[in-house]
Amino acid sequence: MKAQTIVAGLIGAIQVLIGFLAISSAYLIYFDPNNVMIRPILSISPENAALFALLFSIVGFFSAVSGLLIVYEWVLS
Amino acid sequence: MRTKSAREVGLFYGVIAGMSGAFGIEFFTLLQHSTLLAGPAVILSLLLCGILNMLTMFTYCELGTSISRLGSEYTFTKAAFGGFISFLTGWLRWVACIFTVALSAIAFGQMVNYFLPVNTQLVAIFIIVLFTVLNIRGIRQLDLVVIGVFVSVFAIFDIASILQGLTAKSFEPFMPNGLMGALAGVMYSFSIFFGVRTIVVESPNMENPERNVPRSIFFSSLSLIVIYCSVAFFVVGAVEFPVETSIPLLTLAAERLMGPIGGALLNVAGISAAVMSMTTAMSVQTSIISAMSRDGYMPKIVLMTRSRFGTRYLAVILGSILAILFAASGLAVFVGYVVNFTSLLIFAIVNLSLIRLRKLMPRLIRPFKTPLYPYTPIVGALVGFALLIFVESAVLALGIEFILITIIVYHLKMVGYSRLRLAIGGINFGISGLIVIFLFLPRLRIMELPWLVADELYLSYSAAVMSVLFFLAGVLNLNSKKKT
Repeated sequence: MKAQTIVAGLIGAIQVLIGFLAISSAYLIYFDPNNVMIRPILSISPENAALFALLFSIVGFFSAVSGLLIVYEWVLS
Repeated sequence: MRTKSAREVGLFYGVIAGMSGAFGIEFFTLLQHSTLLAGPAVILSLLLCGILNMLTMFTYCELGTSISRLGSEYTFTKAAFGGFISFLTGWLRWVACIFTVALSAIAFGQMVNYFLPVNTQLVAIFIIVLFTVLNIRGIRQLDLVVIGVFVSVFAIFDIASILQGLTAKSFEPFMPNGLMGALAGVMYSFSIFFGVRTIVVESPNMENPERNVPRSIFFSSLSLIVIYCSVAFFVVGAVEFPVETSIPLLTLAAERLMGPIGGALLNVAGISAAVMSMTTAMSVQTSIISAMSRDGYMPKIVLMTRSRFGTRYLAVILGSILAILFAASGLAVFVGYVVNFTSLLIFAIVNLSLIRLRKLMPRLIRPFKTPLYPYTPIVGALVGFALLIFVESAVLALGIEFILITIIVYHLKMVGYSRLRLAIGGINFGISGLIVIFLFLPRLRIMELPWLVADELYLSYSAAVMSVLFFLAGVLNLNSKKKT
């Protein structure tokens, strides 16, 4: 039971981290700062940048919300 | 019944309030790109903007005097539509404020850069952080002196231009990009006049508001149209087109007409405008997010976190972080488009609110009635939506994405905790399945994804781990023990 609780907390924390990383990636893909070069790394053309930013932001948003809810319940337990 | 305020002021104060609300950084920053879009016809674009804005300000006036003297778009749409539309309006207004903070910070950086060789983005971030701290401590608006400074600076600019003399050659061709260019200029200049709505906010302090509020709107709009169009006229006369400049257009024009002193003078006025716009936008974004939190649209924690100075610091910090992100991009034109996009949508929704409220509450006491109803709000709403076609495609895409996210957030917020966990659990399963599909489709040669190098083992393993993680998160969400 204790191990399950720890795993739940860990999954929640990783999801929050993935969420914020995905949202940050969406921001970098959209604004494409010169020193990061994320678009060439992922081979994303400027026309598709908005679409990928949308995908990353939606996945990131849900991941962060899900992670926060799991962590919230873990803290309460 | 209206109670007499301790501090009642007249028409003059109303006009000053409207002008101080509209004297912001927008004119300094947006004029440059508007001129690029419309050419010398930017004068016509500003004139059209001023007239359209004045008509919708009468809508604000009716709503402000009958529904809420607070003059908030969120309050108007809450009374007219409630639910999602008011939530969307609140979000749009909040986003507009955040982007106004970012725009002011970028402009501030550019103007400081005129005097000192500093990194524009770093200065923009620094000024947002500084004003976040000042906002948490609680600062007063700095509008009373600044209005006098603005009128004086613009008057000096106009007089210098008249003394220099302008040739008709500067105005030819008047519409280099045609009528569509001039209309794109209207769209991009839209938020320049939007601050006139401060009059509706100030109406509780005015004597005989039924008479003085509409007159104040008329006179302040008229004064702004004259000031902005005359300045734009002399800017067009002073610079050659197309304008390619790294320094703000107004500063460049002032330099050409009055030398370095003129450039410095306009820059000081611009810095004051940036500071004023940032202060106003920060305080408005805090009050909007607090109002939405009170109505249950935002987490209650925003209301609970008060600093020892009485300010809701979480709301201030949240808005500032987002503003820093957009200011750090340094893309003034992009940020300007977002400010105008959100302003146009709000403008259209407020006009629709008036039409709906006239139908829903025909007996509501309306101390002021919008002239030429229903044509005024119908034209206002149509123009608001129609001008959106001139928004840059990247901003339009971002706007649509933002509205999609707003719809998702609204529905998730409204469904209750246990259903929210079920929904999030399902979404986690969906994401997990999608990762598997994206991993195997290129391997099976069903779909080519050039950006996904599926042959690399570490990427395959990472994706598989992510898929398992989202699956487990889905299970955890579905097995949630907390029911309320």
